[in-house]
Amino acid sequence: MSDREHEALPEEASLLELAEKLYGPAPCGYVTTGASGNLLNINQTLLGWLGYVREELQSGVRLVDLLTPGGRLFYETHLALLLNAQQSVDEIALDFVCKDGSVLPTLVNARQTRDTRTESVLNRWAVFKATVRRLYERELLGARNLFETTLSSIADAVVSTDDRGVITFINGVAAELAGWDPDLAIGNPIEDVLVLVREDTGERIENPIRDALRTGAKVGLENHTVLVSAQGRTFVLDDTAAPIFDEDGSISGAVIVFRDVTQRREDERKLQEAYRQLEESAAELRRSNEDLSQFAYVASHDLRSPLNTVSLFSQLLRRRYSDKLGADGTQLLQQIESSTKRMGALIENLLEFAMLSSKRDYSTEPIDAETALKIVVENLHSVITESDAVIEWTSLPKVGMDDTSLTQLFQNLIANAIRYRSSATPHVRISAQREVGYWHFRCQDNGVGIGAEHYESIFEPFKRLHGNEFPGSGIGLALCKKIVQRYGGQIWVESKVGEGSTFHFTVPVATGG
Amino acid sequence: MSLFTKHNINTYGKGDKTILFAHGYGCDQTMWRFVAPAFQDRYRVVLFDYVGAGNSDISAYSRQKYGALSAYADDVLEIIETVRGAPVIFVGHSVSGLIGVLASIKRPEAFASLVLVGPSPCYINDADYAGGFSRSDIEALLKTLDDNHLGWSKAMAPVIMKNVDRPELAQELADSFCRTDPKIAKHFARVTFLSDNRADLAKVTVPTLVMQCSQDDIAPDTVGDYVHRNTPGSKFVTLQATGHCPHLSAPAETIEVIREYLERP
Repeated sequence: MSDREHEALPEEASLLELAEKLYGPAPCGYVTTGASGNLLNINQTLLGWLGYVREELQSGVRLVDLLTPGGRLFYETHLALLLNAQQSVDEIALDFVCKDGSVLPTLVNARQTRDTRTESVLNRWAVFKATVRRLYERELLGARNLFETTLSSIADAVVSTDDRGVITFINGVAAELAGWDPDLAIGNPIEDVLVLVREDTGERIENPIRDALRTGAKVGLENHTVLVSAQGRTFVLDDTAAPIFDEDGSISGAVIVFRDVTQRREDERKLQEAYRQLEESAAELRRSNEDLSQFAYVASHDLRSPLNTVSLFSQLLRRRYSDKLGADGTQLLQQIESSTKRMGALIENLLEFAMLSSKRDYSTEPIDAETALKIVVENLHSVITESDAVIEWTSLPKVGMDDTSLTQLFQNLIANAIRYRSSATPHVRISAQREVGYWHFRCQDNGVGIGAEHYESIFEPFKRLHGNEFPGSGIGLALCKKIVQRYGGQIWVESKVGEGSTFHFTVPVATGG
Repeated sequence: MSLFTKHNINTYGKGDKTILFAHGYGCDQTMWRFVAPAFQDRYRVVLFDYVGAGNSDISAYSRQKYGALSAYADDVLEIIETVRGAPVIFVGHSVSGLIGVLASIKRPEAFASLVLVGPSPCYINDADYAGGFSRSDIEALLKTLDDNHLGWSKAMAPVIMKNVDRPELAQELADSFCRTDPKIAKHFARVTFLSDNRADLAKVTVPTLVMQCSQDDIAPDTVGDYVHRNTPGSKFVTLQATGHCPHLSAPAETIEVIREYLERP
């Protein structure tokens, strides 16, 4: 012991003086009150905190007179009752009012002694300054309110428990699903509130909270878990549970987050059903398409040979018996021949169409559109010469189509442009414009034009607008549409009767082009 | 659910007349433990807890239902019917005094008399009326309740009670005291301290005793005087006992005054 410490406890000090020295300037406030709460003694420390001198707190001042009105109410409705009931209270938050009107937040402990002989009561209070602590508490309470408000307003169900699995918090969504009043659910074991069973067997299953508490790991529910509410309603759940660790790293509780997926499950089931039906219809459609193509192919192929025979024999007839037939007979024979020819062309087109419909791999080797056009002009040489038609184009790109398809496409469009010409000399102009991911071709003519009501229908097979006024099988544009669609493109027409038509189609760009 | 369970109704004593003790805000029927037994020789004593307090059935509580004192008055009438005590001598402390007033207006025939201990028809100052508190004082009380963990969870509330060295009766009392659900306690505080039943006093037709404590901070002299002046034909007694709970701090005087009133009304 140093000399200074010896000085603090002089040997000659009486017990009373020593007590006063400990009591007066103690690091906490001390107050003694009587039965009616009147102040019997108050130490210097508390006087100092409150800003009073001893004389000011004499005659009949009571402890409650030093409190805020709220503190006074609390004293009368809770604190005094509690102290009388158990003769001891600890860590009670109480606000004092200083002489200057400022508020001093404190924590108080109190002990009551009763003298059974004299029926007198003494209450001894220890008062601790709690300014900073109170700030922390308010902050904590604020954080708790924020967290409770947040969890109350989210769509997920949330329940937390302590380390024994007793519910400490349950949000509105969870309480509603479980069919419990949130206030009543708190304090109950998790299993009593969240009754979980297997969807298939109805067997009770362990709450994932237990698993999380035991293993300290995050756990998901097994699929097909069903929550049975207090009223017996059932919900399919999707959830996870996670342990909560305290600052020592030990498990202090767990939280389970879940949602009702009954509706989602039903939607998924419906979606799957719809998808299955769609696939079935698609397969059926494919099958019938193939059947149809096959039929068309076989039919046209088989039609060709009797037709060839008719054609061959009518030629023989003309060659060998023209003198016997006479002018009238020869005329009829010519009509037979011309009809056979037309029918041959029709069958040819039908065959082409059918072959296009049946499964075939189309190469996407880039083909130069100019080369394709040159072939077409070659093919159509006689009609072009015959009609004095002008076919022109400006530099055309390579496209991602096979040469036959593109040639067919151009040939049909140009042949149509010439076939359905007006009185003017046919003039066909082909151009292409690059757009994102594809080429946009235009094939413009100065022909008779097409009424807007036919823009769609002309692309249907065997749809002919002009009857026998113009020659044609009625399959050309349908074929074009089929080709373009094969490559994921579109074809359409813009036209005005008497002014000509512009056929538009889009085709993929050549790979790497 | 039986009303006996719902309100934790306890009866004892023998006599033709029934005396019903109603606890005030912040406590339960155990607060009458020094006073009620004194009447068992000559009366049938009935004690109960309001829903949300003490050992009542907490599940019967609904914030919506108990949003006004009249709901508590309905409960009192229900209790009287259940114990077949009408007409009862109703002894109500603090806010219960007013609950008794409201119940007696609804059904005067159920009451032989009203004994109001420290009643206040309105705790908030209003123009010439000095209730003792401002609205912000009441808010401060609610904040103090928060600070003392009553605003926290139910699990937390008993923590403040744990440091009791005496395991016998005191512990039991403290336990029942803190069984009051903190959220209900807060809501009851709001309903109690923000209600204004001044206009109802004039409608009382039952003989009434107003017991006023000395130095009562919750219901000051002026308030007791107001209740007396505005309750037709009421009798007024000022106790020597100080504070708001004479039944705890001065049970002998409290018993004496009540007994005298009952014998010589």
